[in-house]
Amino acid sequence: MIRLPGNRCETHIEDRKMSEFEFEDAELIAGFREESLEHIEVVESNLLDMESGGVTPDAINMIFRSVHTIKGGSGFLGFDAVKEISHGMESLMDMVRNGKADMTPEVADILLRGTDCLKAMLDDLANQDDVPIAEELRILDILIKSGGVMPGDGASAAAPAPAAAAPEPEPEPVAAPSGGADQPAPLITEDELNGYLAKGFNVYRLPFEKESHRDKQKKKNFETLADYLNSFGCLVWEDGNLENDKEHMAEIVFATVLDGDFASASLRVDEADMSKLDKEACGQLYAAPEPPPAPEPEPAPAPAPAPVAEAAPAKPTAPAPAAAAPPAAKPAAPPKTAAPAKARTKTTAAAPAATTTVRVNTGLLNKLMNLAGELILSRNQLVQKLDNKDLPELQSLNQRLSELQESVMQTRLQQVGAVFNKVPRMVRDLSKSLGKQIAVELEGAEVELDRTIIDSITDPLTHLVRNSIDHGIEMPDTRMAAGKPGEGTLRLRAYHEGGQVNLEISDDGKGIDPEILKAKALEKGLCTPQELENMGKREALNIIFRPGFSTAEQVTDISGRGVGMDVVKTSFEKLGGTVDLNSDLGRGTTILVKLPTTLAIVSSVIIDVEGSNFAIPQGNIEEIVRLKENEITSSLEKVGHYEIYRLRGRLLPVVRLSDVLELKRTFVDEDGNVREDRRRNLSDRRHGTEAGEHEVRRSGKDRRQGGMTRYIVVLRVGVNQYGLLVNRIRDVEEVVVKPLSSFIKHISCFHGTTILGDGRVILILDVNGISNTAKLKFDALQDISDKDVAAHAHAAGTESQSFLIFNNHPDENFALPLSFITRIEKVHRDRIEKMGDEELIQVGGKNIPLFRLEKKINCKPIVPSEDGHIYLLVPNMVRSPYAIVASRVQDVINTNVDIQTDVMQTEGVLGSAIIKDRMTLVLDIYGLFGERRETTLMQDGKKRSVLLAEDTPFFRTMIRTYLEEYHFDVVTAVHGQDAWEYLEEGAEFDLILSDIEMPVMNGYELVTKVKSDPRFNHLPCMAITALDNPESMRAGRQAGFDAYQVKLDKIELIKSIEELLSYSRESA
Amino acid sequence: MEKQFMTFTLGGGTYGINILGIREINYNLSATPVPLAKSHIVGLLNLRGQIVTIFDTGIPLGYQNHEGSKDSSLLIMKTNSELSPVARREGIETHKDQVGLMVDQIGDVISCEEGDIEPVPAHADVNVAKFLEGVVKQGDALVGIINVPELLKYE
Repeated sequence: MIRLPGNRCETHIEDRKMSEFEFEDAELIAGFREESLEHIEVVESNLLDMESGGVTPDAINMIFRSVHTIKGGSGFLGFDAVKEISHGMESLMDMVRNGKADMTPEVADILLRGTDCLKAMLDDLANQDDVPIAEELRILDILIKSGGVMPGDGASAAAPAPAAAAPEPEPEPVAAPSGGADQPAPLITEDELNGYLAKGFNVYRLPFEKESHRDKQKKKNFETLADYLNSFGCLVWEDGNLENDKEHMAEIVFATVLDGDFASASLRVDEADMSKLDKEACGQLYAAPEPPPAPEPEPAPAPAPAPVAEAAPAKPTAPAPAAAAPPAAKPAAPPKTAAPAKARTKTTAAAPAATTTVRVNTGLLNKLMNLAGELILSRNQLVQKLDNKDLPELQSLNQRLSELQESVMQTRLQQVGAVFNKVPRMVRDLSKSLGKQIAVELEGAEVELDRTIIDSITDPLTHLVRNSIDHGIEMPDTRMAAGKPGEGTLRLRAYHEGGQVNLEISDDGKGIDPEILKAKALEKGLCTPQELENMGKREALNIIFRPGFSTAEQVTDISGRGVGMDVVKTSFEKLGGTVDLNSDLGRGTTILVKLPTTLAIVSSVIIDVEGSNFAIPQGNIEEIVRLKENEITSSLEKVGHYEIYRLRGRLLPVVRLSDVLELKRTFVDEDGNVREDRRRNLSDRRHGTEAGEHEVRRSGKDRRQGGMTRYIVVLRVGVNQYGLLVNRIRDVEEVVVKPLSSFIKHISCFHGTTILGDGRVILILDVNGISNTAKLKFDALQDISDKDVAAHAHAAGTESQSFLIFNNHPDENFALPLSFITRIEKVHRDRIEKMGDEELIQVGGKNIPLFRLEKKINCKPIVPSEDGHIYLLVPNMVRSPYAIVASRVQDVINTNVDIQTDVMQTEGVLGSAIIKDRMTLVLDIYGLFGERRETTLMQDGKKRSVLLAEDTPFFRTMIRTYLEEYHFDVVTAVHGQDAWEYLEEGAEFDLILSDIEMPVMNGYELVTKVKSDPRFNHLPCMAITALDNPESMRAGRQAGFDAYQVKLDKIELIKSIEELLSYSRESA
Repeated sequence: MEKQFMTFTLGGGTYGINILGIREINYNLSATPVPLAKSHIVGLLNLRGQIVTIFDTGIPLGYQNHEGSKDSSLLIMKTNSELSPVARREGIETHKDQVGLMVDQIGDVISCEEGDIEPVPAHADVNVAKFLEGVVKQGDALVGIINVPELLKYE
């Protein structure tokens, strides 16, 4: 048997054709047609070159490869006639290539005739069978059998007889490279192999133990081992022993989509014995006449002589069949001319169809794209200069420009099908080798994306699909047992949503168990136990995308998935996209990828921060929230390092763009000069003298100019959201993205640059980069938020208070009002330094003395976490420099819990409360630090009586405790009406303290009533509130309050009360 | 072979850049600053639709605290791909991106023979000398010839 590579591939392709997939869609066929026409051109030009310039091995190889590619494609798509003729041509060329046939004029002639037939067929692929090819096939057959020499005088075919002289001497050098090989040539062409490599196939070289595969081969009814191997991959090369029954082992090179461990399992080879070939190593299979050094050189030469020996006799015997041939060849002459004639007329008829597409250099396309971009820019600039923006000419220009832009964009767009259509093939190979049954559903293959995006998503998408098949979909019997159909389904869906393209990869497999992921993450030290404990399902599932989470082995044994999922994530993010994973255990997994349609022109929101403008791509923006001046302080809370905004009950971490970009905060002072604002934090405004001074300066004009209105741009990063605090929203513009110059490329906050309509250059922000630069850790926040929402919903209707819950000893829970804490630092225990009795730690260049709870109150001593980290709660509102030490920060909860004050009478403890079913000690920060103000109030020995109107239970308790500490008699009322009733009842008071926001009767109403009643108008009234902004202060004064204090600042509160009382005493 | 240099002043010194690498001189100083960028990156400038990165030439040359004056000018450099064949033959190199060099004041174009370029004096600061190809005597003064690709590697 003559083992021609072509024959070998033949079986392979037959098998492919029989595959159960039908993705012969129009696009694929069009692609095949275009590609084949190109190859025909190559064949023709090379043949013609050889006629005039002599035979070269290069040219022969090129012809062979082109013909082979056509054959491959046609077999794949089921164009039998095309396949048949190209197969004949390929076989002939293969002989020429291997020196078994000469490149005679007859050979050249029949090849040219063959290309004519092919062209005719390609012009009308639907009717490819109508092109007569019998004669060509017959001649090919004769030439193949005779080694390229037309038997007899050859007069019939050899029209360019004189040319024959020139090519004749050449065959020797041609034959040399491959003829010298004493090992079999690869079974597929180099191009094909490269094609596999490009599709992400792995190419392995391995010793193949034949016996162990015989059963499978037989069971699955494959005639040969090669057929069997080709059913789930592609046999690239074998040493000749594969079909030699005498040998047990064969050395093979095998291309497959399977990764190492799977490949070794399905091929039953120890993974260590397999060597993975890279592109270069694969190339050596072709480049060197000797195939890559075979570990077993002895068996290799054995089969080699066979083809040579058999081929050699073929030559001498050639005259024999030749004798029969000529008579047949002669009558065939007339059809010979007829066929090409027909083909030619067809060619001309189909010519217009052929010219509907033109191949254009991508460089030119890119330039066109840039120009269209520039044109839009110029248009924007022009529009800004025009007074009359409604000119009809301008509108028409706009319209044309938009169309132009769209059309140019379309030249860059490509259908997702280009990627999707590769999937069925991969699924087929992979599922066969794994013994799984998987159906593929493709939807939305017509959705278009920018070419560069299509190119870059192929790999990650392939990865995701592979994961679904490998790890997601179960074996048929497992599926049946779980009550699911034996056949699994893999769905790929593409659709447009909100100006973006969504790709969904879903399977109905076993899903992912978040608990296993958590365990794995813990084991790998990617997350702390605390982090995990509070982690929601979605967060847990998305651990899979963390760098360092998994590599193949580790994932297989936890039965999860996620081979290099972080790489997948990064690839999508690089394109400005996001990826999110969701999974129902037992029901399947869905991965959602969001991508921009194009990278070049992006609709962006132009924002202003401290006088600088930046663009944010609209695709990243979820919504924009406007904050009024008085809301800025009250609505941004601090949790740890983050500022939080409550967006419809959810906690949204807010990043100040000015901080991330290290821009100096500025404001316009009374003289109209832009000045630097030295405040660290807007919410710090309520204390500190410096801030107070600023407040005074800031009055009037600048506020009317809207200087204090801010916006939170809500941005999406994967599953997470965060807010970007900016000064103003200016505009929405279509901007042309220009890459960052190499000098600033390293700044991850920026995605690109662009030129605005007014000619200014601005930077386009990179939403991911900013969240990274700001070191946002979403999981921590997400969980706080989840719990917070629950607590919030529970407490709906009454005013509630945020507490930070933490531990010192794990058995004891402590709570501190969140507003008392400036920030939380996580530090390692080893960094504590001792100075006498004091423990100090350096944080941010400052020495902070530590305060241990067990030293002040009767509680169990600290048990630090295993990793040796402790938390420092840096308090607000107190004068002491101390930071409270905690072993663990549990949670932030929002509750309107009632605090019992009489249970524990310890200084530093406000009381106890049941928070989340646990006894929790609510701490009094002033008591802890022993901060008391020396007061003169008690000097006359008379107890003062205070009426306190406050609706929030926590504040009611806290303020009462403070006051009682200073020996006041306190009567509490839950709202204004309640307080008024106490007054009406005739109780005597020295002072009224009232909250502003209260149900039934608010503070303003109460004080107005008090001050207008002659019985009570001598009573000093003080407003106590969480809001401290000038507006409400003014309103308070107008209503009749004598003083105004912030609830939480105990020292100031007492000081004010003291002043008020001494004043009223004097006036009385 | 005669060479021509565009001279300019910076701090107290006079420097020169081979004119073959220069595209144009520009006085537009409305560059957009780039937050988080190194201090020698002045900003980005729109030059007829192309974005040029403006580079403060003074900082690598040791004038750390100098402030741009009203005479500050920009030498917009050609990119490597824009260089003329003549420039390439002479071995001129600039940078692959569009760059503008901010200098205090533009001076004259001077010509000199290749042989007139002397090595940088040994007493010069090494950190500055590495940005110079050599010096040329102009009357009493020395003109430092800037090695542009080296200068643009400054970080």
